[in-house]
Amino acid sequence: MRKIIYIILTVMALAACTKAIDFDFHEVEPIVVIEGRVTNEGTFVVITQSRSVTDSVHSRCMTGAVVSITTDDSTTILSYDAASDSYRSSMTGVAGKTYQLSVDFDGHHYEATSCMPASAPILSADFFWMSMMDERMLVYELWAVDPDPSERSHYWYRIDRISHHPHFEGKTTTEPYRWGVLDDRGCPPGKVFIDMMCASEKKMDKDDEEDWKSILYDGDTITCQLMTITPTVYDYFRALRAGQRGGANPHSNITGGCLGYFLAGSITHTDTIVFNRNNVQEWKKEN
Amino acid sequence: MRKGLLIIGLFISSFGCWAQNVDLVHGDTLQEVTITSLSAQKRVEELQIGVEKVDVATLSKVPSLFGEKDIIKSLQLLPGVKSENEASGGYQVRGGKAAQNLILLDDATVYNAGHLMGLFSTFNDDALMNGSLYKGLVPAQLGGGTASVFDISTRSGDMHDYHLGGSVGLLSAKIVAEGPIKQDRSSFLLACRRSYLDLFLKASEKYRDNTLHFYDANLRLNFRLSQDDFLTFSFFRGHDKLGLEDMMRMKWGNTTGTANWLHTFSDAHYANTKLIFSDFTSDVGIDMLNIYYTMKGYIRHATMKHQQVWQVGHHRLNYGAEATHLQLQSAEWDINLLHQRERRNALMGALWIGDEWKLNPAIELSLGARFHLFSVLGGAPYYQMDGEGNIIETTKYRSGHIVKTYADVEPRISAKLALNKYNNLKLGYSRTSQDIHPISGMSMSMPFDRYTMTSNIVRPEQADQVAFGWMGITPQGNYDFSAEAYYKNIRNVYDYRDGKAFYSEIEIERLILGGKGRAYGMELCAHKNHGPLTGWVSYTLSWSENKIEGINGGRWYTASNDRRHDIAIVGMYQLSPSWELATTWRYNTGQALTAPSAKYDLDGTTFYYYHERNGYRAPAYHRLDLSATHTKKLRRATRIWSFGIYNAYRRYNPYTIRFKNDDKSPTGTIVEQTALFGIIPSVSFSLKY
Repeated sequence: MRKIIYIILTVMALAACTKAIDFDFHEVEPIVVIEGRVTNEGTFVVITQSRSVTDSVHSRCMTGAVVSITTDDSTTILSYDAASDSYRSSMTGVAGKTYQLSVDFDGHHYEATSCMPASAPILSADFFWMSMMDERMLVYELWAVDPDPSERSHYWYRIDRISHHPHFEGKTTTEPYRWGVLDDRGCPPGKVFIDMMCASEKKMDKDDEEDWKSILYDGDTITCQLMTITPTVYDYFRALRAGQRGGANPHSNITGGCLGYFLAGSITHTDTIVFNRNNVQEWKKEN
Repeated sequence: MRKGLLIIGLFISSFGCWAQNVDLVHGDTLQEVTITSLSAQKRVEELQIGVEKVDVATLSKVPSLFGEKDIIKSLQLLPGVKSENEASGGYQVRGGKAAQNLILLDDATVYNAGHLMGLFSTFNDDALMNGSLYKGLVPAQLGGGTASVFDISTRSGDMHDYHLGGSVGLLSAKIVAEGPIKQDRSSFLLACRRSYLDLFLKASEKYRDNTLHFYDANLRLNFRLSQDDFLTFSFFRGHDKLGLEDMMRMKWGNTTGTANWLHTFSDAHYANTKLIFSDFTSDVGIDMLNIYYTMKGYIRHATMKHQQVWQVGHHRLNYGAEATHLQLQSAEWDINLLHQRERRNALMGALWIGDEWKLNPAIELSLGARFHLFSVLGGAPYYQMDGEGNIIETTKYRSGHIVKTYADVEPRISAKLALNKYNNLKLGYSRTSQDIHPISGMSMSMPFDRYTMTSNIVRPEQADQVAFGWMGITPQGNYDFSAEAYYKNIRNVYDYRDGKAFYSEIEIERLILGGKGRAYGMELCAHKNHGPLTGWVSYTLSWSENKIEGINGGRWYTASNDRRHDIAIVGMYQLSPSWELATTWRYNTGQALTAPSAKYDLDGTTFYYYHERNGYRAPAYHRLDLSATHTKKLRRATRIWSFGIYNAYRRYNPYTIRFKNDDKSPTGTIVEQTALFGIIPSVSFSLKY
């Protein structure tokens, strides 16, 4: 019987086919992209332009813009910082306050507002093995405090890893290891969690180049930042992610006809984990 | 892994096949269905424009994926009918979406008529007699689908002799039994099919805790109560179940039942009184790590229908009424500790009158009107919303209270002008409404799509279609030809708002936006009817466009199901008394797709910017299928071997096209095309007594 299944799998593997094809993209004129954040850790705004689909060089921040953040009681001008390639200020956000972004660039005016939610202190973050069919999956699990259990809360997270593995020697990446958004629907009262599959143990053993991005190697350092965000920003990130597959653009909360978003959010960080697969425990429900 | 399991299932389920010619059509049932003959002459003489009479016996000869005879897939060879994509059981008619088709099995509504996510039809051809596909222009007695109505009838069992047949494939089996309950007074027909993929999974250490199977069963009982009275009961159940250990499960299926009392007043006057029930349910669940998620939905119809047909001189009147109590659960879900449900009730009614009027030997008219009524019932919360989908007011009416009623008249007109004995012109107009709105987040329909129905916010979807055509036949009937052009307008088409998905909120009206669409095109078809070689060639030229606020800047855009050219060639060749060969070739312009026009960077990640909705085309699709059938009459049985090759010249047709940013590559973006099938051979064996 088992042979039959193997034969069927083989036939199907031969039947399906994935190949790269040539494609003639309809290019458009560059569009202004604004990414602005006011957090409890500082304030920055990055102004770039969209680039060609076939361009492999990341955009740099455009200089010459007038950028300000206004609250009820003050206005802060952000100046361009070459080291971080962004407009920056040491101004830190305060939960419950509303912030207004104003950008004047190339004869156009852009603005947005965002109210900063309270932070979500992190309770725990760790890796586990989960058995699934005849495999084990590496899972990252994070628990945090829901700052407002009576209302639906929204979160953005970003996981970064720094690897010294030879596969990544001489390579720099700005991409996170993982990112996403979540809300607290159905979570245990006062808590919120992330359960995230990383890679299967078999893939980690096989170590194919196409899986390097998802495989974690011994010695990799892993950190995660969790940020509480407004429902509008949550919808933006959800639409951004879904639209990449569905062919739709998210609606920016910035007026003036640009891409991007402006948010005010409270960030918390996990402790840094130095990954060692031999130390990873089996996942149990009570975790 | 899940995809792998699914593909295994799809593949192995193919080996079972059961073939039986439809040879048991009884005069007793002829009055209750519209189809009495499918000859070329009848096709040409048909008064209604935009209708395809589907002969199950002919379609069962057409080569099919994995050799599994499939009436729904075969429909896609007809002019004006297209597949959603290679693996989908959904079909699109004249620019409509699959969700706008109404499928009636003995008058009972069937949703998501596919096994294994639509790879195979839920209908077992052993149980079917014939069907009529109305491509948006429907007679007054039918309503409920804005793109098409596919009206299928099951077979009656033989009242004189017993018959038994069955097929055992590698992984699925079918059995059909029929015969008299009481000689010449009553009969039964039972047809069942079940896959046994789960047995193979159990034999594997790796997959033993997984579930993957489907079944369907048809039962029809006929009773002749008197010379003038005939009672029929038909039941159908189709069910699929997939499971990945105890971590994930998916179940869906249809259950229908129809009781029909046919009373004949005279040779020219009869009535059908029907009680109809249908229930479509879906159930999906995930229990993995700390994530516990379940979602259940259903649509239930309970219908009473009375119809009379009366031939008076040159008039053939068809009039009647129907009332349906509708229950729809758009979702009941558990998201970890959160339990929510949205369930609503409604009353749906219709009164109709139609007249087929033979004005003179050259002109025939089909004139009709359908009074459509839909009342939204209380017992559930109803909302007022702002433009962003936020609830600003909630009202809960008592159960049975009429919250809102929609009423309108739908005119139905079809005219035929005979130019001579062999040629005629046709003209038609039809308005149709649909009150069940499937909302799909994907380009193809899935069993787990959420549904909503017309409410105080959601309006009935409504389509107006005009069509003009010509039909001709050669004097000996060897060939017949048809050409039809159509234009269709459709209002209140609903889709998800950008960024919203089926699970975003329990109140589905918060997630959707309404828009409109239009479609137009031309269909040509030529049949060869006699001789060892028979078949047809069909060609469709079509356009389909949508306009929804918030998408494409509120401008008209090409619909995702827009395909300019469709060609199908079907040939069947009787090589000898035992061998029959068949082939199909199809071609269609590539599917409209949305591709990026720029890219940009946020927080270190690159994203694509999409400038025009469906502004690009996938590569063209074409495929050749072949089959050979050997039939041998044994002493008491007939033995049939069928061999088939799907995609004979191994064209890797596009199933998905993905755009992958790759800053390491000089092109910056890699475009990946995935094809689902290469060459798929199949073989099946069946035996009938």
